[in-house]
Amino acid sequence: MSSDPTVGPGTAAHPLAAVPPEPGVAKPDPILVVDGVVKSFGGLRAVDVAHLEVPRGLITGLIGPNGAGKTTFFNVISGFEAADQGTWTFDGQPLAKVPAHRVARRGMVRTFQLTKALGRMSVLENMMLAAIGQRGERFLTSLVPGLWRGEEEANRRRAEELLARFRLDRMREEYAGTLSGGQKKLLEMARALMVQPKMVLLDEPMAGVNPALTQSLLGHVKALRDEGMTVLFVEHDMDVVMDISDWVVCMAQGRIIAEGPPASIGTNRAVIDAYLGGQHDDPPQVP
Amino acid sequence: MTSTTQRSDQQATVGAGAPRGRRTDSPWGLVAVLVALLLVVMVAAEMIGVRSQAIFVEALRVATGPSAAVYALVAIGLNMHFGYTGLLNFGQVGFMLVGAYGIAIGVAILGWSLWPALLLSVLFAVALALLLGIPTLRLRADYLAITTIAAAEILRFVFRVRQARPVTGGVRGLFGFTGDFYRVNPIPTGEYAVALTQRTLWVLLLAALAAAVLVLASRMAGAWWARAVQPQRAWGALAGTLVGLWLGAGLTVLNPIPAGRYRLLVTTTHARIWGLVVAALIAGALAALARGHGRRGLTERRQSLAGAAAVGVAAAAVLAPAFYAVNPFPDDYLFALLRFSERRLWVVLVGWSLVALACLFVWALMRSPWGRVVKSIREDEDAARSLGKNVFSYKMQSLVIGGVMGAIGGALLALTIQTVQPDTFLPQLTFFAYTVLILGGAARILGPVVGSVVFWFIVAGVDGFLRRAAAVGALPEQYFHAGSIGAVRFAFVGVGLMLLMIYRPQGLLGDRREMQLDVQ
Repeated sequence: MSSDPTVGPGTAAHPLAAVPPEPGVAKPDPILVVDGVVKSFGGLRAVDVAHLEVPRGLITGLIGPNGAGKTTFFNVISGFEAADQGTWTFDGQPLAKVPAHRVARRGMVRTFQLTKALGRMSVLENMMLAAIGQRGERFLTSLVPGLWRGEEEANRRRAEELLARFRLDRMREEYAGTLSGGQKKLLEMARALMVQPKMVLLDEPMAGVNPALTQSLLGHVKALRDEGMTVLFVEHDMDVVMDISDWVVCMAQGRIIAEGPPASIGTNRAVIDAYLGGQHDDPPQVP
Repeated sequence: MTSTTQRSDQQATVGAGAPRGRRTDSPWGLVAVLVALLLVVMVAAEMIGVRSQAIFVEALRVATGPSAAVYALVAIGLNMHFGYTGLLNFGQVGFMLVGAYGIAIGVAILGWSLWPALLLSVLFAVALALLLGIPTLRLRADYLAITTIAAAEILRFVFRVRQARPVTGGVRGLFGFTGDFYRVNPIPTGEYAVALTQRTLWVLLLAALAAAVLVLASRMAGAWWARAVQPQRAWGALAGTLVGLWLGAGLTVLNPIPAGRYRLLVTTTHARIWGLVVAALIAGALAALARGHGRRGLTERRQSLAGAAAVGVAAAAVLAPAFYAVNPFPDDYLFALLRFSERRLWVVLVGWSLVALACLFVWALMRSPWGRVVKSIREDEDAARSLGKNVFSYKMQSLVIGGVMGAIGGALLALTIQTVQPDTFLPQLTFFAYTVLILGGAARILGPVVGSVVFWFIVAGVDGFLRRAAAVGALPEQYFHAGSIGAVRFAFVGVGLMLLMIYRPQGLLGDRREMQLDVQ
């Protein structure tokens, strides 16, 4: 499970080697640039990100204690929740106020902390659904099978390839609801790839998955990077984060409090304070 | 094309034990319960001195009549909303109302002819769907439910008020708008009947026996005969035999042979010769199919079905005279099941044709990628959204399509009863439609149709039984007088719906496993 943090990403030849480990630091080729994004629930500032750049083609881990605002941040940038303020661009295009389905079509696809397999549809149907720009999904053309048979066949082939890659091909005719928790995670990842995204946001991809499957999921995530995809993922398991991340961002109380290569983040003072409680300031207030 | 056949091949081989081999639970248990109930009621009726045959015929008449077609249409619309998209529409009766008033206002108030008035019905339904959907479809499912049930009641009251009388006719409603519809009736004046002759009765009896044996045989897993007789062969042979028996009795339609008696090997008639010729052609075509001469490759399963059917047709056509010779029913036996005036026959034909069209339409939609998106929204709309689907737009489309079907059902109802009044469209109509849908099986193309026929058969049967039993004084007067029976029969519907939800929530055509899968 554990890996050696001294080798791999973060060492000399790495594209981010010259980037200093500071919150909000600029990076060579960012795909996602977030500026001043604020999301409040009542009096609580769940997300308050001044500046964040996510480097293209690499794996960025997003960590932070419970309630740090990681999932809300995901929800905001993927269009599932409206931001109160702020702008962010994806691949050079502004994404603020773009509805969730358009965000996905532009190439940024997310998964969910609690997997959302479409239970009463087959695994294959789950996959076929995810293909973008299907003509057969329009009301009038859907009534004329001749107009969508071809694309359907092509999508089916692509879906079968992905299922084989994720070792789900034997399950393709099963209802997705009958899969195990880990298989659902795999399906969700495979389904996200069906969209042909430039970037995937994975919300706790390893949560509730047994150790053997975690290894295979890790392999899949690394393979995504090797194919040139950008990955931003939330994870609590530090071994996993250290193992696969090229860069780690730490959030606490809605803010980005630290950034850096995985090796540096474990010794970062702000990160340790965030996880263990900063005893040096803010004594508990007694009403 | 090829891959779909591969898929059905695979399903055929994995059989009943595999998770997705067959998607429908066997409905025979429920069918058996319903038939047993029917027999009990009929026997009970005879015991208290009521003619059970009259109740049966009457129930059958209602179950195949216009109201069953109306409810089938309304429930098909509801199936689009609830069964496929997961939209909880509790105000389907509102769509029926605007559909009925669409043609009534178009013809009776605006003086249009029927067709543009029907278009008005559809437009009303689209407008109502947009009005309901735009504010609520972005919210959680329950908001639509609350809004629709309220909107349907508001519509009824608005159509009722005195100020609306110039347009809606107020409480008394509108009438005299069905002239065009009955004027274009092409059916000549007269009495029409669907009847069982001595011959059909004999064939049906034996077919039912054979089918029962086949069902039993196919369920006896492990028995040598269940393995020896593949079910598709048996069903093919049975269907083929029925066709063969029908043709073997003689055929006069399009018969080119001059009428008369002919002496070939035995003395025979022109009708029988022609019947045999047609049977031989059909058997030949089926045999060719079975040998794989079809256009695109048939599945092995269908090939063996065609082969067995070919043998059935040929053998039965030849042996038909012998079969009819041992018919125990008397020659003059005629059991009239359904009688129609030409007007009723016209309404029934139009109604069930509309139902067939609606089913075809829903089938075409649901097998397409459009249907896949709609189903994914039922499963989890956030997941659909995360995969780039415009969930709001699809929900809106579904609401409009299902609403228009409800409106067409309402228009058919108005044409049948030839008047519209606001108080016809009470909230319980929506729940009758839900009963129909759940009884038949939600998210199944034919679920609403089967559900509507069975629902109306039960309602009319219970009604007929109670009325007749009350008339002969077999029931306590204070509960079962003429005024209360209409309400009491729906109490039975309520009990029936509860039992159904407990013991068979998937309805007649559904799949229980599918029902139980909705947890993450």
